[in-house]
Amino acid sequence: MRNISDKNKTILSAIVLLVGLIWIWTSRVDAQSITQDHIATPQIGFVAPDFSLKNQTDESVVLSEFMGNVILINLWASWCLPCRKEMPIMQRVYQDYKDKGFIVFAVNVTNQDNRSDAIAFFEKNNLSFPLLFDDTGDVSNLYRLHSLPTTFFVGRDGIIDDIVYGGPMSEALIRTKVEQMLKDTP
Amino acid sequence: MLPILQVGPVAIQTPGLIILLGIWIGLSFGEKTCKWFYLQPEDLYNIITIAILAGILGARLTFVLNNLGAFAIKPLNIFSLNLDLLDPIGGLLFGALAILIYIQRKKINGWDLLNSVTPFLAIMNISIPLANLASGNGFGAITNRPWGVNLWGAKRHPTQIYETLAGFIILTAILIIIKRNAISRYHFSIFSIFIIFIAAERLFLEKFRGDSVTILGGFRTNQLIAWIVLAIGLILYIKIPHKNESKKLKT
Repeated sequence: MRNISDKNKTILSAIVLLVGLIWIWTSRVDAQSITQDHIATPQIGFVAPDFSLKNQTDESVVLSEFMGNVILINLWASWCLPCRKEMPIMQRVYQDYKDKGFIVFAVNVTNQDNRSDAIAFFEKNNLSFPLLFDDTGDVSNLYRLHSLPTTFFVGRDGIIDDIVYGGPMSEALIRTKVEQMLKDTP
Repeated sequence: MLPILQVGPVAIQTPGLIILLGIWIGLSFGEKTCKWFYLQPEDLYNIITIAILAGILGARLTFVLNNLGAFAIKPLNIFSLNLDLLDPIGGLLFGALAILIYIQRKKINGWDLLNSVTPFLAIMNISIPLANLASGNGFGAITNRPWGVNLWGAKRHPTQIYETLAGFIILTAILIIIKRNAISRYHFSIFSIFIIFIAAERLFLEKFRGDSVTILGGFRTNQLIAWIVLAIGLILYIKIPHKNESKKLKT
């Protein structure tokens, strides 16, 4: 037979569970307040901060104008070995998925690099995705760059889906993420 | 927030470093406490090492099987050091399976094992929010409380700090309970008490998180899971000890 102490434990447990249910009820939120889509900051689940940078032909490229595509923003420098290693990998994936709405923006941290080296590297490796120059370091600051390379995967809705610090990224990693994001946000 | 620690040319991912430190401290600590629960330190080391290795292998294998197309082009990517190429559920299943096989072969009582790893888990329960503090993950909801912190474009509840403090409180409580031998009649209750504590922690603190996944009606998924775990913990604590009253803690 169960002793009185166990009975008390059962009653106490029931009270704890009931309080838990009330707490869950009071913790409800509407989806709008829990999603972070109204704030632009470089973190998963938030809107990718907008920027405008010049490309090789000195035309301005504005990130927000490409919303609706799956975007890979790669912050890199020509002297950074892992950055150099992953560029051809990104090119192969870009080649395979660009017609499905996949774009790569190679944002060169030009304040720590120089344009001619970046352009030479692009030409040598036949890289065809847009090369953008962050001459002032503003975009690096905006994206809180801590290490090179850093890669942001941005969904069609403009929300950051994933961030990869360091490199080189494997081809399988880029492919799986891009395939998933193309599927998730048609 | 310090996601990357730059040491010369090497960029160390701080959250990963904190988790590794947690494992190391947890193991060192578990080595001292596991004897209380009739488990040899070498078995504890073996079990955790096997679980981690099997977990990583299982997580990678499951990820590869789910994304065969991506690996077909570059099969050597299967051995990539990239931690993003892991499937957590596959990892958990393989890790748990490896532990089951080990304890069956060594004839280790499952409850003894769960009690033995409780201090280790309590330390991991501190290192995970600390890792989140470094990475900025697990962030809080927007608040105007004076102790709010500026993070991700708004003033937010410092949930990583709440969770770290809760982790310290839980660890202290667990150690006090073990030390005082307060549950000696029900020696395997320490694990059930631990899961009651962490479920209650998650149930309470999830309200202040800004990254909760919600389901229909605006309910936070983690709270619902925590409530179920809490119920299981309470049932274990009340019911199961009666079957094994005679075994005492070895303190």
